[in-house]
Amino acid sequence: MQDMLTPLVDRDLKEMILDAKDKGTSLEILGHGTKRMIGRYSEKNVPLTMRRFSEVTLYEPSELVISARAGTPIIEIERELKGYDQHLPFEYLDFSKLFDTEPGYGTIGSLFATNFSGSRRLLKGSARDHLIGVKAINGRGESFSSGGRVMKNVAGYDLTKLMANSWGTLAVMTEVTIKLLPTPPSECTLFLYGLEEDIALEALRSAIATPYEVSGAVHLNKNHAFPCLDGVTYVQDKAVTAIRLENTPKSLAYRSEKIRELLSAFGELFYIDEPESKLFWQNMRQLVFLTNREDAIWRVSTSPQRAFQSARQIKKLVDSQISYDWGGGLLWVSTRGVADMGSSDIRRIIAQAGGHATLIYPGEDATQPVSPFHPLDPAHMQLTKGLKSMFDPAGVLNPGRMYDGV
Amino acid sequence: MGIFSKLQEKIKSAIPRSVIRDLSEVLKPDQIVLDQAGLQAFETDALTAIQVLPFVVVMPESTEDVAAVARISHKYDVPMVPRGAGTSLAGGAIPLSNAIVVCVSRMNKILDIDLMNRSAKVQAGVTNLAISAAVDRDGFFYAPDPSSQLSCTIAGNIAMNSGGAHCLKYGVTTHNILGVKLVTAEGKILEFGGPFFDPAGYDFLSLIVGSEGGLGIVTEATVMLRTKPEGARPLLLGFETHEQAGDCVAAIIGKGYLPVAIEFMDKPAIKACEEHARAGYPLDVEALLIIEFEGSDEEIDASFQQILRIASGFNPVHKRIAGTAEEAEAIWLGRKSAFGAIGRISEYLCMDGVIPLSKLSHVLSKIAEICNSYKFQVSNIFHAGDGNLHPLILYDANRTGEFQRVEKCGAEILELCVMAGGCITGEHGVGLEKRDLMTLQFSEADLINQMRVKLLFDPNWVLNPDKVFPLELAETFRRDESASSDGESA
Repeated sequence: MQDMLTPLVDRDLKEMILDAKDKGTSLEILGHGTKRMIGRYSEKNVPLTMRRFSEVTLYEPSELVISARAGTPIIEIERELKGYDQHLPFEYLDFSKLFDTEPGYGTIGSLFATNFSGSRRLLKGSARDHLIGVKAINGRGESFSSGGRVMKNVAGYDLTKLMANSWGTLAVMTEVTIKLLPTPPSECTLFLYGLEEDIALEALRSAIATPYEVSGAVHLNKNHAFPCLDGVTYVQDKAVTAIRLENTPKSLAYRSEKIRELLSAFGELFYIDEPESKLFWQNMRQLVFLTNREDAIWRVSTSPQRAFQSARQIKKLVDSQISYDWGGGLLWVSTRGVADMGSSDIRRIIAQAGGHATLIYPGEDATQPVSPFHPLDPAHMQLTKGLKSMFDPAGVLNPGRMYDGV
Repeated sequence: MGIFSKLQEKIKSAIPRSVIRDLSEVLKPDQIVLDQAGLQAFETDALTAIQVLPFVVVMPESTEDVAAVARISHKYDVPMVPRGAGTSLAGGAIPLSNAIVVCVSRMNKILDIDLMNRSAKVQAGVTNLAISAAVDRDGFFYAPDPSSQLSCTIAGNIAMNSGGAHCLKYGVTTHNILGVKLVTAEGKILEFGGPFFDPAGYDFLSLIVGSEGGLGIVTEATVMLRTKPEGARPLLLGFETHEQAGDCVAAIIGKGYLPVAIEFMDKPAIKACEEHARAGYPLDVEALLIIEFEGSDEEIDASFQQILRIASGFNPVHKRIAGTAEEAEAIWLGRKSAFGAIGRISEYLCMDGVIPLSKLSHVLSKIAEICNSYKFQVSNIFHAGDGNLHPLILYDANRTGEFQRVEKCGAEILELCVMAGGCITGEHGVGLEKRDLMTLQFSEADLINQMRVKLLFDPNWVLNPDKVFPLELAETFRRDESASSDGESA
């Protein structure tokens, strides 16, 4: 491996970018590398880690806002927030179990650059939605900032949210400012066991359509359910449908009862209290059901209305296991023993239904290279390349990380 | 020839009559407004102090109509000014004398309601309230609620990234839009996102929402629907000082309570609202908070008890709980009529700065100082939960030079907001009004990075061209870009 560049301050980073630009070389922008396995990798890119940009620069609990330099470990930010009962509401995905890295050790910059939100995204929005300010250096070596520390800000174009899901290909974030929320005082989960997929999705939709603010709505097939239920009582060797509520204990009692009444026709609802409820959703967030090394793993964002049909079509064509998050809006698909990991079938089916499929992990036996990110149509690809050339015309920052020529 | 020199030439030349001929080939006669009286209806928006008679107004009825108009605009290099209901307080929809105004208000159909997806696909001329009304019976609503929600269109909401009183809980427009259909400056039709979360690739939606019509004309949108709460009621708290009210809000949020809205009014605003709406507001307090919670009756009452307990540390001299829907309505009536109430007293300029909550007391006393130095009266209305401050500066529109003075006064207030760590606009947008104040908040490099995005979407700079960016900086930028692209092609 090549020597890693380790800038400490903005000036170093700027010099490194300009130096690469002058020499016609390119950089791989990293935090701690916890998501390095996802997306495309190019040996030509010289690795540069932002991990020394590590510091919480502002925390105002009464304004629900925190700023940190981009290389700050997420775990450090969460430690700060815990003292004031606040949290990152989008429940970011933690790939540590999947990729054998240290949990929570990813950097806050990489969290936003990749925008992987977890189950609570359904109710509270994505990581992107909570990114309210950035400072960054683009591929031209220009420092710029966008947004700020206030949660409402519509001055000029929103380059802040543009940084989310750009995988470090437009600019290197040096500092981020995040909107926080109070941690809900308590939570509970209602489990239904053994439902057929279409019935389960119907149950989830009914629960989400209530005024009771469902903050998690998943259906795990039997095989995926088992590892997530580790430590939870009432385990049955069946598929599980889970509905989370978060509120004061008194509200939880009221709301869970209402949902129980509403869903009684779907079967017996089991009430899971803390700490088991927390444990279950942590298992979800850590993707413990997707750690079989042989499997390729797909994360598919789609229309909940079409989810069941799409899943059925996929299963018909590809040897796969499918579970649902976001009430059906997110499919986790694991495939095994398929030459292209099911890419062509999955992507064709999802394109018809609306949405996109990201290959998170190709499986350890993968031989055939598959584009990790959903291919863009020509018009979007043209705009994507255009945007890249505006921010990074020489292709210094993570070239090829997302797409060829970007 | 570079972009800049082409643009200079364009401004010099009058719009060719053939533009009208071409428009009448693609639109019906009643979709083209050319007569003086008809055009006058479009000469301004809610920033009424500025009026410009447009060259022509078109009223498209479909995305294809908009695309056809855009192709004509592209062919003749004539600017387009997109317009929804014309409720922009920042002058975002004010025409240019040499532009085609593209008014999407006739595109007001709800195309598809998909309750399973909790989304609706609508034409861009639909109003916020029309969406909520269409799904109300099923227990859903569309969340962003700017004061103009009765008449404002989704097109304008998307352009300005509109907010409202309830965005503390539900976010602003950018958090509630799943997809758009966009007509580009060249007349191409593009789609971004759809009825699913987090589209693939770069987040173009984040650029389009809030771009003030500068990147394309949005003709359709897929919006997120939310489930209606069981109920919602506010409580009212009056304080002897601004500081106590501000500290009380900080304490509420700091202790982990997140009401759906926290509205703050100062004494002049309370007085105007009370005289107008008879909402029963106390007149002997310096600051009033309206704090709303959602949930079941018991849940709301429990929240009220918690809030009253927290508030007791800040000496509230007036407390009133809305026990019923009628009482809730009465409390909101005053606040919602605030702009109209103050408008009855005098013309006003409504500012839209945002400040960190912790600076509220300092900023309010500074605002009083600034307005005093100009001999203007000021009322302050504040979305306290998210820091969005609306000072309404009262002025006499009939006195020559007063508008220039009030603009200057407003600029000083916005500079104060930026200095306090905030920004110049929280929900109204930049438009014409704050175009030249962008440098208060942004460095040249910040703005250049934004303008490059516009250049990508709108290479000839014809979409709402004189808005958002300071004119001189935009011209220099385009000249430099043009020179470098000429250099590259040579």
